[in-house]
Amino acid sequence: MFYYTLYSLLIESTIALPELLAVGSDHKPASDVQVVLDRERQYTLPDEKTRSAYLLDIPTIGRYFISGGNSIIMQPEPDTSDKTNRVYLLGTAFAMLLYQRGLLPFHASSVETPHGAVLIAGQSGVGKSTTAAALQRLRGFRLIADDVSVAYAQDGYPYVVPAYPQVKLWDQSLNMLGMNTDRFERLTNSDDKFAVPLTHSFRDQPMQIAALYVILPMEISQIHLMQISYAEKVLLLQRQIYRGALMREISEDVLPFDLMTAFLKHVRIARIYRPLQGNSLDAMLELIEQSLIN
Amino acid sequence: MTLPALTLDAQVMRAGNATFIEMGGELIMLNVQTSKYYGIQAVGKEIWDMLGDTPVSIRSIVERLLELYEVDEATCSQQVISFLENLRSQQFVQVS
Repeated sequence: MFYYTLYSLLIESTIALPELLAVGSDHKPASDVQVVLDRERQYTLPDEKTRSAYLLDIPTIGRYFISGGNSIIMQPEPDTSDKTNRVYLLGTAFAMLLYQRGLLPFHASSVETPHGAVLIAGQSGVGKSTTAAALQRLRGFRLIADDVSVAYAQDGYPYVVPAYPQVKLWDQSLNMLGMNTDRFERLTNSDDKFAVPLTHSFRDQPMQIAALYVILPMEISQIHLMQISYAEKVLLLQRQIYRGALMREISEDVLPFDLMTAFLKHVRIARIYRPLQGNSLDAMLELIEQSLIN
Repeated sequence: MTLPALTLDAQVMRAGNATFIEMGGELIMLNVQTSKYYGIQAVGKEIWDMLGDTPVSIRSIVERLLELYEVDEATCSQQVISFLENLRSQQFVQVS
């Protein structure tokens, strides 16, 4: 059995999950979540799609049964590699589990800044991970989460919980940041996307959220930050929910009122339009830092 | 279910369980049944401010808006009624 922490939960797994922070074997309190690999298909996974029990069926990859907010049973297809299986486990399957626990995953990377946690959100490919990696490498801000940032509200304030010390970067992004692809492992065998460990620069405690920026690439020549109305902020927030369509399949109540109000009251929420062409990374970092002190 | 159209004489008030927050002159409301959020700005927000926990007539709302804005009475009445019907369909206001 392997033990890890992820999103401030203690995970007990039958398979190794090398991306995650391992917990020493000497102190093992009752685990919060059990992850079981069932390659032999000993379990019959019920075809349920409710909030408390959900069968995630990904053609050619495998089936993941997520239930009670504390259990994931994985039945990957024979051709699915361990690495690929972990991508789906740590992505979509865990997002569903968090949702079952009343935590809300956003499609965003997040870093620790002197002003509080900053979430960088947007669709796949807009540069969330690259921006987070740049903030870590060029400004020394520790990573909190890559790709999926989990939020909750407490006493009226919004917080993000730590994920695991790794960013996923395309080869172009690695080059842009002056990093050599030879040093890192490919995420899956087919992609030019690499797993970059950040164990030495990772915040492992929850942090209050100071800002959420949604990146939108556009046909423009200069990067700029756009302030928006509160009504638009609510819309924008809802659109950044990770696997939102999947969540809405099982429940209408996706963005809870207390979390929404915590964001509106205490988080700078803005859109960042960046040019489709060229490298606007330095300008992006400056824009974010400017916005945080204004 | 279609509700009867509202008239100027109807008495309206905020629904007791209306879930909303005011931020920077904007109103964000949550329909707890559908879990959908609505944003209300400008004059809509002013109308909401005129509503309270005790019923007021739609006519009195229209009269106050006519004092504040240069708008003809027919247009004003029609738009206020349509706005309040929307709020009623989301169960943000109730008619007594």
